[in-house]
Amino acid sequence: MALTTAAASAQGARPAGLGPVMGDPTRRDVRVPDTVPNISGTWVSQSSNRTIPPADGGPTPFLPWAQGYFDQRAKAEAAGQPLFDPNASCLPSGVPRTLSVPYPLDIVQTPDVIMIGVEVMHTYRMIHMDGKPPPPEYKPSFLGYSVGHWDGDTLVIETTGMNGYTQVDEEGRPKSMSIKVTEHVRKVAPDILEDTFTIDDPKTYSHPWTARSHFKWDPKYRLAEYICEENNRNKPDATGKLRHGQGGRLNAQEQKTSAQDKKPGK
Amino acid sequence: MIDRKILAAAAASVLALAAGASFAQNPALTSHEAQLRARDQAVLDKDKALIEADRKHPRIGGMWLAEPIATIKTADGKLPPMTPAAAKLYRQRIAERKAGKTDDPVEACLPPGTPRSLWSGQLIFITQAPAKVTLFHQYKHLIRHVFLDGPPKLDEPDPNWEGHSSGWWEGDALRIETIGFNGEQWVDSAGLPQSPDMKVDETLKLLDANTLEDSVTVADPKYYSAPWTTKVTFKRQADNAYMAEDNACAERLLEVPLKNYAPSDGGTGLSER
Repeated sequence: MALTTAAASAQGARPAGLGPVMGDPTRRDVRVPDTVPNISGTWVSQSSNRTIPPADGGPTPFLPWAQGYFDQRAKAEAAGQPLFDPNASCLPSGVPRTLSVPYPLDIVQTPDVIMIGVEVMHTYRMIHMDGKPPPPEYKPSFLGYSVGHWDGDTLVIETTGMNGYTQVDEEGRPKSMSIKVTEHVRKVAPDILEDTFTIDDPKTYSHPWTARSHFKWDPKYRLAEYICEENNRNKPDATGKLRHGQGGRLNAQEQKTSAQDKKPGK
Repeated sequence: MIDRKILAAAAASVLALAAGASFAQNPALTSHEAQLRARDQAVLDKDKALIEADRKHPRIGGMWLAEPIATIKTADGKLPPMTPAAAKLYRQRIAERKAGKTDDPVEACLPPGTPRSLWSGQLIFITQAPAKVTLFHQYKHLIRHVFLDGPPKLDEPDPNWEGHSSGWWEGDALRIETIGFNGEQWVDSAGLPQSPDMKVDETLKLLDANTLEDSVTVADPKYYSAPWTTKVTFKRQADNAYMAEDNACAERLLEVPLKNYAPSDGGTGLSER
């Protein structure tokens, strides 16, 4: 229990109800000081949802073009012809969509960087703890550039520099390149991680809005290899309409096998 | 009739008490939290030795970069000892690439797999923890988890691209054993073949504080007449070196440029792309 005492006295504000090093103490770099909360380990999503609505229950504060984009997608889907979605073409989900997918995260803490392995679409987020802005050579990317710092027991992550090709959620809330996502990550129970994220995108929404995801610690889970490109079968046509079950390496193999199965005498 | 709820609550408080007086004395903790903390403390106690031992290991964690290698040779500069079937496949792959119609999985945005990802020439961020060493590859943003808690558990064989890696410390070297491949990998971009039975043994060792050597031994009787070894040398980069995102290969598979599908929000800056 020496750890708890040291941590509590160094930090002062650590809530009494939180565990000392819950998470996975053997999955963080030994150089990370004991005073830093431990959020390492595998976390399984408790909030998978194709829609990320504002946590206050109010309407999404769409600007007119964004409302139009959202409605157009909903209409196309209702008509049985969904439109382009980066995920359906094996492209990364971006932030905050990675926080609402039904796939786990693997967090590894090091002194300078917190790595968040994302099972879906084989990717990871790098949370830079040095407080520096993106380097001059930085180019907008799917997952953006994240800087983090600890505010007491809460990890605050600010992500900017996203390329605007991804959506806020699967349902179709759009985002622009101006989006800034600010996350407040903390343990609300020893084995529950809460991520409260605020979407600030003045080109898409009339005011910032906030949503929330929860994750449960699962020390036994090992992140699987997720290779969407093996079966990339819903490629969009030039107008953005998704094709159904065409193409894809595995799909081609399956079709070959099933054709062989149908041969007479088999 | 016994009330199940009361029973459960009683069992929980017994567990909490058994977990140690300090938990029971803390009124802020519910019995559920106390149980979780007890479990966590048990993990900590069990792994204390592991954590302490890792403080003594050389720090191989950090940002590393090696020169790309397209054609892998053994440590003594020869081509690996291929079986006739492998040699035929190798020659065929080289000829096909020359003719501009390669079957290289990487060209179809599939993963390079292990060990090929080691010679991509792109940054590798290695995290080093007592129970897991993780290789975060810039190349296609792939992750290789090296679990240090024993051999891979393959009750349900799940052959894949990265394989299943397990490791252990042997003095100052980290040994890694990788099995469980799907056999679709190429060992290098020239086209050295790899079968599902391949076993890759690595020895990672710091030559000095800023130089990391990975000695890679490949055993694959289907394609190679004897195990062979090659070496790759990484140079340490700043831990916060910029690692560009590189997992949007699938963008190349689209028929029209990605920007055609993006939200069209006239004049909001998206045209800057």
